[in-house]
Amino acid sequence: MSAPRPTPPSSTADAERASQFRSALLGLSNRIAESPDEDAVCRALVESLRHAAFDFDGVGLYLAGATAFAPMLRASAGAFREDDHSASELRLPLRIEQSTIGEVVVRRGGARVFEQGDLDILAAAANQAGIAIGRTRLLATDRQRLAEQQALLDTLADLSGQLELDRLLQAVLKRAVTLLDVTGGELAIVDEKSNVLVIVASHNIETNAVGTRMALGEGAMGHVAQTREPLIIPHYQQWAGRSAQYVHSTIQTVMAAPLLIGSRLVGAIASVHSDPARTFGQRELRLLNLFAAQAAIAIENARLFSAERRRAEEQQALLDTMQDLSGELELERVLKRVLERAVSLLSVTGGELATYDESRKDLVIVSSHNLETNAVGTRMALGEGAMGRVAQTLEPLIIPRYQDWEGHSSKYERTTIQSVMAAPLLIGTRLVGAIASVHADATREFGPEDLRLLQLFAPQAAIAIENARLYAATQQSFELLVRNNPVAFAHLDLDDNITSCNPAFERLYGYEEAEVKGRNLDELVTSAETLAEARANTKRAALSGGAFAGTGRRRRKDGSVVDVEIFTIPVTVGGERVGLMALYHDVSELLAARREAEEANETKSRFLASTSHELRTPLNAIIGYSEMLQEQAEEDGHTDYLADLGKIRSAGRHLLSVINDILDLSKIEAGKMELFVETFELRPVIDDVATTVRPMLEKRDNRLEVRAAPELGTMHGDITRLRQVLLNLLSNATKFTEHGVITLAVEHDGDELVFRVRDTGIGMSAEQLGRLFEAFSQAEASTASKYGGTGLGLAISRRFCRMMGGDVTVESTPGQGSTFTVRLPAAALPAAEQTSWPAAGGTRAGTVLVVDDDAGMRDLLGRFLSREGFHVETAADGTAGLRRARELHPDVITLDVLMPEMDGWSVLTALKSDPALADIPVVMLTVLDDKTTGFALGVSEYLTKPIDRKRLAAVLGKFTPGGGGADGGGARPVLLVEDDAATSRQLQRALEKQGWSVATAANGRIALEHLSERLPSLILLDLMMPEMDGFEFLEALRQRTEASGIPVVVITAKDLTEEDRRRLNGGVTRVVNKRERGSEALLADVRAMIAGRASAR
Amino acid sequence: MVRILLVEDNEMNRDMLSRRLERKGFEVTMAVDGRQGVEMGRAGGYDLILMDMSLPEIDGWEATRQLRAAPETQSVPIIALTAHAMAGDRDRALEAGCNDYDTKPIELARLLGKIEALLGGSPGQ
Repeated sequence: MSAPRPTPPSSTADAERASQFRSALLGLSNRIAESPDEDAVCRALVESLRHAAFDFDGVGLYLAGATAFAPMLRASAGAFREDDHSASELRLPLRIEQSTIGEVVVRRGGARVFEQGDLDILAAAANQAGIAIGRTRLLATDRQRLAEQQALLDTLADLSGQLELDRLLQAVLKRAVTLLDVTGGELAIVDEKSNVLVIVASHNIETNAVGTRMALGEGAMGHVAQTREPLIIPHYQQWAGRSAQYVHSTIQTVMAAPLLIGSRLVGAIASVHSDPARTFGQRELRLLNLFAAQAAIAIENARLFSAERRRAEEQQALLDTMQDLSGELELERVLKRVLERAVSLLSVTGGELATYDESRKDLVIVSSHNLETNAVGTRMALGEGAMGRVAQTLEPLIIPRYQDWEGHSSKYERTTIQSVMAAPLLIGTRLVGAIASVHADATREFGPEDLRLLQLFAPQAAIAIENARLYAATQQSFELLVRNNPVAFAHLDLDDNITSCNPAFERLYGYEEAEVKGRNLDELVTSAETLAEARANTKRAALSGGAFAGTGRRRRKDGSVVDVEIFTIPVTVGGERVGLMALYHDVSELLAARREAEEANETKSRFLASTSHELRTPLNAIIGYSEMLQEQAEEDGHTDYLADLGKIRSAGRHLLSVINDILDLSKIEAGKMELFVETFELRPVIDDVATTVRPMLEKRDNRLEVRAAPELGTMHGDITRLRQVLLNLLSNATKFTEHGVITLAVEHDGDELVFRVRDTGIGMSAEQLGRLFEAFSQAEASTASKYGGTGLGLAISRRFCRMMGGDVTVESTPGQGSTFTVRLPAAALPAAEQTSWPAAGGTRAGTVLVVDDDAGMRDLLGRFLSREGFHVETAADGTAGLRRARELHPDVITLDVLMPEMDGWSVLTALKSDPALADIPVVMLTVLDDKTTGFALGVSEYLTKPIDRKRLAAVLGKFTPGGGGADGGGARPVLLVEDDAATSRQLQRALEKQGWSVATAANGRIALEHLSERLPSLILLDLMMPEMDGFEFLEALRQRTEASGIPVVVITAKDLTEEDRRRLNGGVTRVVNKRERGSEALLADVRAMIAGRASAR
Repeated sequence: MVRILLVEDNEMNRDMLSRRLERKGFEVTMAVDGRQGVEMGRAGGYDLILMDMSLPEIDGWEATRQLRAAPETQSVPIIALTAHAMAGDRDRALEAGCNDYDTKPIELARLLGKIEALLGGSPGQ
């Protein structure tokens, strides 16, 4: 800096002034030099110039801003106002090198003028300030660039978070170009397998060389990769190692650096100037090194991650393959998919797949993907071609240059196939097929990694193919089965539309398959009446996931109706429902045959019953007259006739017993044989049987032994049938035993009574025993003629025993005798439960069939509903329910859903598909709240348990003719109060025959209970009853206003005394004497009274 | 002599049973249907009535009821005879007012036993 030249001093004062002046000038210089930034320089300048020594009144500094060209006042000191024009002013430009950046202004008021000295001072200050500002500006620029570079370097750390390799490489290169402020650059990474560099990113270079492989030492990057040192090539085009690729490019200067982690080479980076004016210096080299270190780490991280991910992707791809293929069973598609997967997994051009034909021991190409030659269908011997080779060796194979390979197939000679990798498809050691993958790109090679992938893939593919082949075989046989099956099949999609059907379906319904495809099955084969039922069945099968079986009526194309057995089976694949299969079996003929058989059986039973009756009358005469003649012959002494008469009588008796047996058997078989079960003392029965049979025994010189405790207690059963069984067994024993011992032993065995009849007769062989209890099969046909008997006795005995809840069995040794064992329950039969509840309110309110497996529920409903005026019948399971429904044809059925064996839905479906029963309203009573299914299946009402009884009664009332129900809308019953069961039954029967409903009560108290539930239209009252007699009942009745109008007819066998009449006291309408009037007359009276009352209402 | 009214529509049965009973010392009068049975029964003088149940005009059940209802025959013992060995027939017969019950074909000894039980002695007494 040039020092200002001071004004010469004129005096001591001048000297003083000069010293101050110098010090001020020095201060100015120092302050400017110390100023750290532009603002400080400006402030130092103006403030220093205001020093008293300089004698300026005001100082101002203008600087041109970065954006505005007009200089702005940046600093001022003293009295300096911009718009002050009163003072004299000196202005000097402020320059940095040659350019003016501002102005320094000083002012001095009054008459004082500026001198040369002032100008010098100002010039020196401006000069110094210019330099200072220039310096601070330069510093600021440097600092900014440094900050930017630092920021760029820092952002590489961010890039490390960027794990997708391709994008990372691009980003890294772009950052480097920005950081170094170069034209463009390239980035290469090391392919560790081949130890060459591969250019992976290129930015702003004319030649995009991405994918180019370079050996170490080749080109700038190859060079730095080899030397592990950065390199600046000032004149690239003259450089000996330059790459031919860039000869004609604008590349001028190149700076390259290796990417290293420690000493391990990751890649290389090159930056390029296309501007000949730009060069690379040490600073740039240092920056590149810094950058390269960070970039190497970021790239390595990304590569590691990328490899991880690739492995994960591979596994995912394999997984996809497995899932995909396991869901796919159609062979052709499986093969196609397997091959496509392999091609995509291995990133190859294309491939082929062959399966092994076990019968011909060769391969057949079954799938080809993206190859010029489609060789599908070609057969290859083992050892032939790539796949033939691996199928023979059972080892995978890589053929780097297929066209040069000795085993190459001429088929592919003109193709672009470059390299091939093939592998056998094996399950364990069993050959399933082979797969080949092909590169058409000469630069691609198969490596160990590819082989590893293929070996992972091959077993999966083998299994998938094998499954599909097995499935195809199964499918084929299934298809054959379906096509040739006499049962009609239809396959449905998820909307229950037909996708296919078999010829039997076409025959059954009269449609062609083409007509029905896409049609809704249920709509197609039903009429308006059966559609809901069919839909519900289909829905059930679909929802339950299980097969549904039932019967129904379906409609043919011509409108005719056919009875069918229906199976609806959901079809699921991998747990997911894909459709339904509906099977129909025509049972019209079967049903017709069954009906015929049932009718024939009925006819047979009727015929037997009437024939038996017709036979008996003349037989009675034969037996009777022969007996009579015998008696007469004895009396008259005509002993010579006696024997013959005896034979006539005995033959007649035999014939009669045959007829009786046949009648018994036919009754049993028709289900019409009823047991009359009672509790009786057993010992007297045994003694009675013994007494009856003993004379017959002794005729053949047999001895009877009865082995039983003196007290056998009671038995609950049918006494008549028990006697019949024992007599039959004992008489049989007698027939086949002579001079022997016959034993009747009776004992308790737990809950059972065991009766044994043992003889010492001829016995039976195993063969004879087999058919012993069958009707009309005596042990030997000849036996009957030899020993007599009908051959029905044992069959009947067995049936009776079974009806009583037991059985009869036999053991025998030929020549040694036989033992028949009868086991019967000693206590009440389990079937003795009440299944029928006569309506307390009369049959007029209708018959209800209660189907429920819960005995408590049956009992409850039976009692309650009968009190409500319904006749109630119960059934304990679905099968019995259906049977009872057919027998009774009730007005309404209540049905439980949850029952074992046959559930409520099945019963409902069966009911609704039987034309004879379909019209019976069904009320579901269940804990299940599934009204939708219920109504879909044709339910009339749906009530959930626990049952609201009044509601149930009201609902049932809707469906019954009498209107029933709790409000007593129907005809009110006659209340019969009578303690004598026989009289009560007789009267009830007579009244019911006339169409009256009858409620009975065994005494006055029960009658009163009845009254609380339902008011009768008339009361028939006996007077002499236990517990509460007729008089007391009438007393109580009078207390009830609601019952005041009910006529009371007293029926009594008692001759009423005056006292009695007083007690009745006009409370009765009429008194009828049982003894005086017959039941007919009594009934006529009752009729008249009720009719009169009815008309009076 | 004990007088028995036999109500039976079948001629052979009637002939047979009457002759056999007569040989045992009973005096047997015969009616051929229910109505006649009731008329003859009420006309009086019988110690016991044997009543077939399946009869024309009015059946045995009804005839029995009518006889029971008539004061003059109210206490005459009646034995029902049925061809059906059906359980329940016995109850019905007793309900209708019969004193006892026997099934056809008649076993004379058994029937005689029942008659004796009801009359409390042999025919001659």
